[in-house]
Amino acid sequence: MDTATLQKNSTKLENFDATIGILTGGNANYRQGVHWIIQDIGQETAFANKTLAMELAVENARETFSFIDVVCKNCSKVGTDLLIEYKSGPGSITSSTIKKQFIERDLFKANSLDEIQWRMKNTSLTKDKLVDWLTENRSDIEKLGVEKVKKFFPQQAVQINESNFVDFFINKFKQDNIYDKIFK
Amino acid sequence: MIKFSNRINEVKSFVINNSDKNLYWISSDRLYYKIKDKLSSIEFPSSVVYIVEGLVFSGKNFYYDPENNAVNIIKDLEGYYYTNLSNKKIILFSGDDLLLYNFQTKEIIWKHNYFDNSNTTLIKDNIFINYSEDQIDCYDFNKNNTLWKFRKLDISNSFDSFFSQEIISYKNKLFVNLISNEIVKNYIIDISTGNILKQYSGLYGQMILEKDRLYFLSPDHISILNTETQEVSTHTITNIFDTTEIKRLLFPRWAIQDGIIYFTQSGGVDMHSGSRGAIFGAFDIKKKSILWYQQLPKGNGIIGSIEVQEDKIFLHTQDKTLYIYEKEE
Repeated sequence: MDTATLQKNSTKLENFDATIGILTGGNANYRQGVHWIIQDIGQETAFANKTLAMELAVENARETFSFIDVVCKNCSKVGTDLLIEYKSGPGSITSSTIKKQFIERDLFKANSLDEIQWRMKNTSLTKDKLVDWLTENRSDIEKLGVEKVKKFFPQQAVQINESNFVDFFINKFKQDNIYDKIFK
Repeated sequence: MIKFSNRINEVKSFVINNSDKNLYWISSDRLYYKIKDKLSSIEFPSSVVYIVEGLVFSGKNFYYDPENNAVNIIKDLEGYYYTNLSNKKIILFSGDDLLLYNFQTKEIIWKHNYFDNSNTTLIKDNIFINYSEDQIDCYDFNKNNTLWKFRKLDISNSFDSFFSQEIISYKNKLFVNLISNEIVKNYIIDISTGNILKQYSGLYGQMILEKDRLYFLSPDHISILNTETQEVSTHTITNIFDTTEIKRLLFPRWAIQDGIIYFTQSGGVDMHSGSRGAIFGAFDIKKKSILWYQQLPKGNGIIGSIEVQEDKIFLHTQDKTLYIYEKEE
């Protein structure tokens, strides 16, 4: 596997060649996205001495490159992997992005909210907008199931039940500390 | 190795009942199961299903009794929800408050406000183990008092340290982990007294107890704690996977049966944007080798859970499909 190292903070980048290739491609939005990733990885001290694995993801419906999955190895609060989603530019996050990438993919994949991070630049996402979109997509939160929401909020798990878990989850994102933990 | 046996669509939740060896699943507010190889279903308006003493419980106040082939409602518990915490015939429900129900005597035996800032995690005999990131405590629900507390600041100088949510009990021991400045410390605690029996450092990952072995499973290492001898062995596993197309496991799910470790791989897998189908397989940690692995179709997406029951492997995927494979000699 190709591995590059950022000298500034000794962050190791796996499969970086595939990502850098986008810079020579024709799509300006994707190039902008890659610039944001490179800038952020170079500046973020939390990634110092960590290994980041990068993978190009293709949305099946569109069949063109749509985003880069970044996994920071052993970077979550409890030492598990951290799933990082980079978003840049207005319109890069919509209700459909929250449904497909946040709820159906990231929340499904993760065992803890500490394992998910969305790093954003000029996206215009706000806490209120997220809560609106979570509410719009509540049937998808319902599909995650009550046991999953208990895992995300272990200190209150016993209070979370079949009838309240969707509202409990959405209401949590009205709190700054929960929203800020993931959406940076 | 293994062979495909069945796939069931639109499964919200499933469970395997050790008592009758049957698979139960929920789809469209109905509970499905087989009686003498014939598929049956019954109205079951719950999205989740659990096994309590051979009964198939909902997340509410009703359950399916396989012996009588009927759904029974516990009327005394109207407005209460099963918490997925029980010990033999004692079952914990939550609603406006917490209550314990004795299934044998059909009585509510205890009722209490929610505990402040902690969450009931385990029931054992007459005690609860309550968890928070700052403290683990043991509460006697017969006497309504706290027997002991195990505080993070008793064992760590760091205010940033915290207990991980994974707690396992085995016999009279409790296994808990404290994380401080990215270092994991593991403690075995005597449940009767709250005293530390033994301390380890650096065992991390998802904890699964199989027989008397406690496994700590991560994509890099697997540690096995023999709970009887208290000896630990640690094995690096990245090199086992790196040489195959599986590569390093990302957000895996795990199951263990007879010392064989079953894994799933979510890397590059997603029902909307995945580049491949989810991989699942088995490896023998003693031989340090992968025994077999297989790939699901790409459209099913990530494997959310894996269960192994005798000769069957159950996989529940992102698009709510339940796959069943059978082991072959």
